[in-house]
Amino acid sequence: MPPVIEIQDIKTRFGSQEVHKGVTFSVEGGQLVALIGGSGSGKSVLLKEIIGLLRPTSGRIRLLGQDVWKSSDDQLRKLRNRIGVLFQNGALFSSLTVGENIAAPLREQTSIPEELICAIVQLRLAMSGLKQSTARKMPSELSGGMTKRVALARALALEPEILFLDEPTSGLDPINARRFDSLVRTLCDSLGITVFMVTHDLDSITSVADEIIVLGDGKLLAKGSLEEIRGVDHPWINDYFSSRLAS
Amino acid sequence: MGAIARANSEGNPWYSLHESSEGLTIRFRGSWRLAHINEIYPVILREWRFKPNQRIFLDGSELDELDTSGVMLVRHVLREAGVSEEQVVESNVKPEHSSITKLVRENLAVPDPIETPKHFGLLERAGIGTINALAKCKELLAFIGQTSLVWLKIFVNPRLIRFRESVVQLERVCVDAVPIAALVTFLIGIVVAYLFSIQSEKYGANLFIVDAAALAMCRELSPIIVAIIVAGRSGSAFTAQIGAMKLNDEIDALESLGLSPMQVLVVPRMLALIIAMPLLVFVGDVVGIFGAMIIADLRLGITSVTFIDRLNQVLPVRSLLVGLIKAPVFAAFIAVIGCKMGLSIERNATSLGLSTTSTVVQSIVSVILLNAAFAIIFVELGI
Repeated sequence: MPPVIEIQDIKTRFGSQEVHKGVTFSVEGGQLVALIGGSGSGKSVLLKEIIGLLRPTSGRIRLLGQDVWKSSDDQLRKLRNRIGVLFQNGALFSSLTVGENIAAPLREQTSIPEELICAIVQLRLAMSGLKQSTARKMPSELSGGMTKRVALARALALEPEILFLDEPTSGLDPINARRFDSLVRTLCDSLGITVFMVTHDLDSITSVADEIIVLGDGKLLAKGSLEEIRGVDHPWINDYFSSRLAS
Repeated sequence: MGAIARANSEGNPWYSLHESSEGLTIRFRGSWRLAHINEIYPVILREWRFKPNQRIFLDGSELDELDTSGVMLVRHVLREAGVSEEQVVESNVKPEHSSITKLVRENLAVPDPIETPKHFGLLERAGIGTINALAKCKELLAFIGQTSLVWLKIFVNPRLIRFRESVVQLERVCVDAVPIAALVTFLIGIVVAYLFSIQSEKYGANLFIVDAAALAMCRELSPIIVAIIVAGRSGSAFTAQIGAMKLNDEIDALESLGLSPMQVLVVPRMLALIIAMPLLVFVGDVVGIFGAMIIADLRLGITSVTFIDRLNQVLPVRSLLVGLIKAPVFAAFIAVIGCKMGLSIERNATSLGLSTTSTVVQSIVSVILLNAAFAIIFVELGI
């Protein structure tokens, strides 16, 4: 099976600032991958480039076998229907209720009858660990943890093959963060989808990630399982894994 | 019966039905995914019929592809047909599909009674609208009260005025607004003079164009036009700036630092606008009359020297002041409305847009109402 995400020699420059100096890696299907790196190492920029929101200065990105930056608008739209994205702050549409937020991708991209959309929305809510009554709330009435869950439910609405999560546990308390992690793990396992997660959270990495990709100095520092990464001798990686002891 | 069911579904790419003494077996095939739901749904709605308390076996042995929406489709149709969960048995599910069916089975939500949104009649709507409008009036009054209190404090202790913020605001609402205010009043001056020149030429009263254009610009047109520009430009900006700060928790941050949003945000903006408006109106007066002067020269042959000479005779300082006195009052109203709408924003992006629109509408309406009041007052006072 070909890799679902292929990044080849990505370079990104904003003015004189060089964010990526040639990043290359690939991600196999069905895995939960965590992308880590210090603040300003270009993790979120890379995520935006992968999902086709920001054009890299040079390099090639293939998603599900399709070149993101050589696709026509129509191809890109179809490709986007096969991925789900959870943005850092949820990015729920503030004028729609929670139920309408989750139904939005279904209503816009499919022509499924309304009663089935309702049933699917109910399933998505339950899968994300939310009560059915949440559907009628407005996003402004939700707590941080609930917002992330609703955003997850919306990201899952179209049955994506890859799920991108941008800092899914930031702003959550440790208990909710672990619950969210195990939810993502369960969904990843039972739906067989690939999860690509940008994160800072050491606990998420140690508890749920199959593979870790470390970005630093604009380059790929390391890629591999938790044990392999721990074995890498790099100042930032050493600091990262010992930060727990310091605190 | 079984034969009929089989015959019905022979050519069906999605499933076959097999009825036996044990119950009804639905043998799925093909791809039961979100993308195909539209094709599958009408077929199964038409063809699936269940007997009461019949056992139903969902056989996945021939199924190629499955996702949660596909499982949900089956569950939804069964539920709508009144089949209870105890009647349903999943059998021969392929290993790669079993986690998906399990996930859905565990998350089959008890459907929540969804309240149908209430539709209000005309009378109810009018009532709700009135109550909301009254509540808004009350809020505005309360805000005016708060603002007045802050101003009282400032009169007692003028050092409470935040000089830096006020100057920054003054630059934005005054200096930056000069080009657009001048352009618009210049064009209005030209239009008024042009239209009047046609009339005055007919009666041979050419020189009266000076009276008409000067009085119209100074007393009415320049104050109103400038007020409308300022309402659209600065009033809406106040709402948007303060509203965005509120969405970003900056207002709370100010208060937690022991600063009063009234003093830091509202007073500098009010002050800046109250100073800016008369200045802008004066610019409007001058530029508008200049526009009229050009037209008078081009259309009626009145030279600028004659024009200015006539202007000296027919435009008393009083008329100029009538226009300039209105300006700070308009400014105070626009600033108060703009700031109040910004501070009372709700925590969502829609509210920001609605409030900004509402600021412009409220400001323009109140400016026009105030102008009418001024007109009556000045006439009664014989000015």
